[in-house]
Amino acid sequence: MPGEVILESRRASKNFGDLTAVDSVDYQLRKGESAGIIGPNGAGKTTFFNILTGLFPPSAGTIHFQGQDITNMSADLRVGLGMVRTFQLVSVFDTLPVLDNLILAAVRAGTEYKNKVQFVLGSSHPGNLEKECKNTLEMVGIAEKSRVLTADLSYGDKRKLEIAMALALKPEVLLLDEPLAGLSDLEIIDVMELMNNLRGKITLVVIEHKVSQLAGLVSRLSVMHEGRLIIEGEPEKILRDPMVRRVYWGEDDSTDETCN
Amino acid sequence: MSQSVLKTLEKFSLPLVAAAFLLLAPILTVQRTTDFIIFCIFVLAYDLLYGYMGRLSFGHMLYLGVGAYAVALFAEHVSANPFFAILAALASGVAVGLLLGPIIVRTTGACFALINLAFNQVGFFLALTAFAKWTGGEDGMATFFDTVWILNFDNRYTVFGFSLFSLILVVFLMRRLTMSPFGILLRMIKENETRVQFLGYNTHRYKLLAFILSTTIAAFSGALTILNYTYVTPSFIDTTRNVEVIFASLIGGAGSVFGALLGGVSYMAISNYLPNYVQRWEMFLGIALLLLVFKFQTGLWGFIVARVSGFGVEKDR
Amino acid sequence: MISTIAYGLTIGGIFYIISIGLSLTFGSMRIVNFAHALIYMAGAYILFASMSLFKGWFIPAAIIAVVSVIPLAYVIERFVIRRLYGESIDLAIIATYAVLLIGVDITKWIWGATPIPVSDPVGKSLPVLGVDLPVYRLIIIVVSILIFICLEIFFRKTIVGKIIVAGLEDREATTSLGINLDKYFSIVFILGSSLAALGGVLYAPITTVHPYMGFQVILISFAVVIVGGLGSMRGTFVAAFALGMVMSVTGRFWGPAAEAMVFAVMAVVLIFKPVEV
Repeated sequence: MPGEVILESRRASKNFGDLTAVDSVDYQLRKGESAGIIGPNGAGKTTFFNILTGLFPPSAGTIHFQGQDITNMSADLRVGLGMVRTFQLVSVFDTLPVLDNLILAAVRAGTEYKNKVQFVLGSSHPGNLEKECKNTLEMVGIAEKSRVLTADLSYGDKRKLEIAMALALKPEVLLLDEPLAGLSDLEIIDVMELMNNLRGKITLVVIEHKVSQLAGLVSRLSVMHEGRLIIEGEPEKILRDPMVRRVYWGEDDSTDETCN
Repeated sequence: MSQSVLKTLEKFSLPLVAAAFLLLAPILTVQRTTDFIIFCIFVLAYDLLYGYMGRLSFGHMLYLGVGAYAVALFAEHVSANPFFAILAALASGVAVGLLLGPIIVRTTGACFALINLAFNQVGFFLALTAFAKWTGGEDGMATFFDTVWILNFDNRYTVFGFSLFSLILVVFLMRRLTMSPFGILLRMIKENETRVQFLGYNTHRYKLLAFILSTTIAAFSGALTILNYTYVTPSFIDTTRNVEVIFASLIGGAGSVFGALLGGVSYMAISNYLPNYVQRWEMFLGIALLLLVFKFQTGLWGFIVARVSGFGVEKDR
Repeated sequence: MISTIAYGLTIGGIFYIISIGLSLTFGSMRIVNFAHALIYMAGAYILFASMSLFKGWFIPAAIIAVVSVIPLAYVIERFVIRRLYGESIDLAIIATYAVLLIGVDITKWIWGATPIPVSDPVGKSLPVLGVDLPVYRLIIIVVSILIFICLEIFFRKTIVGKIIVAGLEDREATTSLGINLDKYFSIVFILGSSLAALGGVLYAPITTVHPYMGFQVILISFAVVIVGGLGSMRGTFVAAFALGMVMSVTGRFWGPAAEAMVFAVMAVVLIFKPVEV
């Protein structure tokens, strides 16, 4: 069912001094699919995301989006192409009201404010834009908190807000970096439901530490270990794979139960 | 109810600001009030960078000086029409922002503070020594303006009226700027610039725009200063004077138009009247700054807002 | 020509000594410490005061000057900088500036605002390639190189030094090893401050001692730090001498432009520097 390759890394590597965080990773993502990347702490998953999304360029190798070489493209232009991400440590704007977090994303993805003068001097809350942002908040289930100061949100609500920010950008590809990290069990259910709703509508890549949660969500799992992509395939097969089990059992006690 | 007080205040801000300064004029004398007004414009220019975008400059006197010298040089060499001279000052403000901005806005934090200071020092040297032939060096330059229509800038009241009109204009502009998507963008850059890039914005471009707006408004306040004093000397851009606007920004409350106005007036009141009673001015300034930094970070406006909305919350319960 | 080079090396050496502390606080805490200028000035003034105590004997007066700023540096670090560290970089910068203002005013209170000359403690000159060079300036060059060597050994061979270097490079990683970096950064701060005072002491006989001497020097130190790279010890060393030469050569052609030229070089470096600072 998935279509052509939309996002691809070719032998992408990243070194920090002597440490090789990502080691010549070949990765392909097809349009419309939901994929997961798992691996123990320090496996290089987030660094790989950072290369893909343009936080910093790879030390070697190339990144391609819809056939275009974007290796040295800045992050903001990648967003313009439709590549949007969230962060492992929730990253929202605490000093602004909840709704204001979405305004700029909606402006970026929308057709209004293409006039620069309007962007600089016009009102930030015209009715239709505000309505659109409220709808997005509705989608993640925090619409009633639109006027609250973001700092006053719970961590789970902040996570939902961050996903709303990403959705307001109307992404082609959405990269979620450990969206369940730090959430309570109840909040995990909410966010899982949210991701399940997105599945199929947009191309989705999820980094996750809680492996069992991912199995039901994605159609393909990739495992990273010590900077390398060691195995890829259907979730059930991957989780039964002896090598994967060794990587998890051997090196990271905290994930014992999630492999069962 | 108290929330609505704030709302009303916001709604009628322009006439209220005008009324406040008109009331101050008979109390403080017209020329002094003009001084207050012009300094407030400078604080607003400063606050766009510091309060909204979170970039602390230690060299903003330079941009004020650029406007002041532009007016003086223009009046001497090109035309004594004050309005053309002001336009020249605005153009110089844009030019200096365009020239230095691309270097300066690449930096943040301490580097931003000091690189502005370094350029300020260079500007001081240029005005004092390098271009002394034109700027009159330490003696500075005096300016004379033509009367345009009924506006004679030798008349104190004309300068007052024009400055007040300018302030209202700048306040209006600042409110539009800060309530637009651009205003949200600046506040976001203050909090987490990288994150803004991942919302698809080229932050460098907007930081540069904010910087140029700030240098231009600062240059405008410099131009008005010349209208008020009719002379300019290098002491106008002395680097040690930068602390004045920082102080004003802090005491008023950074990141709000009302805070900037309140800060401007407070600083001017303190600096105009306190030295009559306090001998050690720098020590006072230092201690006051420490107190602001440690005990009173929200500034006067933040204090007022917290009080007013605090009462509101209690009533709701 | 020879004397221009020698002068460049002399002020380069002094810039180096003064800039180390600034570079370290920049690198470790990301703040610019304006109080550094105060300590530099305090070094010069205490030198002047204790020289009259020792009837013009330079060396003990210099030692007293360098040692007596340590409690001052400790107080500033403990009660101003550390209290604001992590809260807001901007506020910390403003607070150190406030400390500088207070210090300058106290200095004016005690010693007045008139510049005070300090005489050359050696007074002899040495002919080098046909030019008479003051021995005192040559001593400064030697002292600055010695300090560089000592610091290299300290930061690369001792455990305390290695921890500090690691902390400068990656604060989080070092903290996660269970090392209390604050304690080590206090050491860095006091070390840097003592060197600033030493810089003030050594520079005093070349220029004059006055309450605003710190304002000038902190800007040049800042340029040294930018050109040399934040927190880079070797970069600071090279940049200090390079900018010393820039100042000396420019000053030979047009005295007043010397300082402006340093900032011009800094601006050029900033333009071509790839990383954000």
